[in-house]
Amino acid sequence: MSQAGVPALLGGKTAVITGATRGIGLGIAEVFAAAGANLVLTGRDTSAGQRAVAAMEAIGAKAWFCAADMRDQAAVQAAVAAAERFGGIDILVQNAGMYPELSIEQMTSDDWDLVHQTNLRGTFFAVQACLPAMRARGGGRIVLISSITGVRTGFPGLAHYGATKAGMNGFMRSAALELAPYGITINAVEPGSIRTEGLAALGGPAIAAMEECIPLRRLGQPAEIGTTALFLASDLASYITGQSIVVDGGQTLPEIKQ
Amino acid sequence: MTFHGHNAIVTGAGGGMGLRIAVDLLTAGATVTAIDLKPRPADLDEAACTYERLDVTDYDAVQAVVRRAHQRHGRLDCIVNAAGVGWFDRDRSLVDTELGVWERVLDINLTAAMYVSRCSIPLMREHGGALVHVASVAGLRNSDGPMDAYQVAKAGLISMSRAIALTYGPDHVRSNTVCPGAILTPMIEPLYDADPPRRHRMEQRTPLRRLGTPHDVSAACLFLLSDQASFITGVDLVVDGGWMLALS
Repeated sequence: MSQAGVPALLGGKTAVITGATRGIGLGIAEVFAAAGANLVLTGRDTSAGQRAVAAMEAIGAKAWFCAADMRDQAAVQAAVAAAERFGGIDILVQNAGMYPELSIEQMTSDDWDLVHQTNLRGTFFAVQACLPAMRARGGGRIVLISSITGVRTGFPGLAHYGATKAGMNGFMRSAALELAPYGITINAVEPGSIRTEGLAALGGPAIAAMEECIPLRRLGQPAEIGTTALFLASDLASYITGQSIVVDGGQTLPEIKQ
Repeated sequence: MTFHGHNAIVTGAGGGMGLRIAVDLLTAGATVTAIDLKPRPADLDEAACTYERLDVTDYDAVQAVVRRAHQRHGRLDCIVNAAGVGWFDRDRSLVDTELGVWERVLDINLTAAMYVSRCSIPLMREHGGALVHVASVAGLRNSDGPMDAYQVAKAGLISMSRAIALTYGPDHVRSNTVCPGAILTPMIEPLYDADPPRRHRMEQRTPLRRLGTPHDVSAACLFLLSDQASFITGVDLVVDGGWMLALS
């Protein structure tokens, strides 16, 4: 999908996108930039962040990078506050997350805590940080990038990750009820197999085998998570809250092959 | 979202959500064949849109109209199954509902959508396409009623959509449902007109504190039909203002 086809649904809006220096987060940022949004991007890698800002500016968007580890509450708050340079936060896309594969037998409490603090506690930090500004502005949109893993399916080696993703969906449902009176919606996107740098590294035969298991017979593109997040972040979805949209080409539809 | 060069069929386009979807698809540049048993509504300009009056539970009539729609533009890209009835007075618990009412509700709300899909999918397989079926939150959870034939039909529609998504995904045919909650449509308005406190109660119990509009549903349908949703198939998108999240 080309950015040329992205509808200009976010003109003048300001979005904070966490974990936006590569992969799905960068794909979301490109779509939001094409849709007219001003962007605050976060990540841990400052040089990758500066490259992402330059890429957004090349598309014609105003963009700013804020280095933030999602475990650091003050850094997350600073990233949300940075949206003030563009007039204040309208949209939060909580995308930052990690997925180091480890069996339950190998996993230490530090391994568990790292993934939980980044993915799930980081989600709480980011959502909480944007509430004062969104309430003051009379509303807002929050989109969480969850996963099919943990919510719909399992994956050996990702028990800790799956728990955080199921946790994000659970957090979202109560948050939707708490935030609805303020005109703030919160929804999730559950990507399936998306062609990111990490996945491409698996190589052709592995990817071909994955594609065979997907009814649409291909992997998704980061931009396709971006366009789904764009819909949920736009006025078109003003009556949708507490929902999760699976974006997996139908991968979770079939029973396993007999 | 743009639909220039896309050819669409919308059932139930004679009013309410189906009409809104047909109008929005036209505005977005699609060619539209609008279908309903009711006469053509004034909002649907005769020059811009083909309007076909027919009973969607008549298989031969459905087959003929789908073929004509395909032939008119040489392609078929989008199907919206929005035809449906909610017979609040006659559709009760399965013990109390007359058998004829049960069968008719299943025919209109489920089997007709199968007819339209069955006739359309072979014509979409040439270059891919997308179907959206307007189901209901009642198809995912019990409706407050009871209104058993309606909720069984809507659950069936959801299951049918997933079957299409799985089987025809390799042909680049996507299928999804939109599940509206309490939407202010001509189907439900008389209920609220007769009982204004009921409307107020519904608004207050909806987390986002308002009833939905046909526009809310149409926006979700157009998103799922569009290239913006190109990796989405077999999902059910709930458009209910948060209604399903809360326990009463």
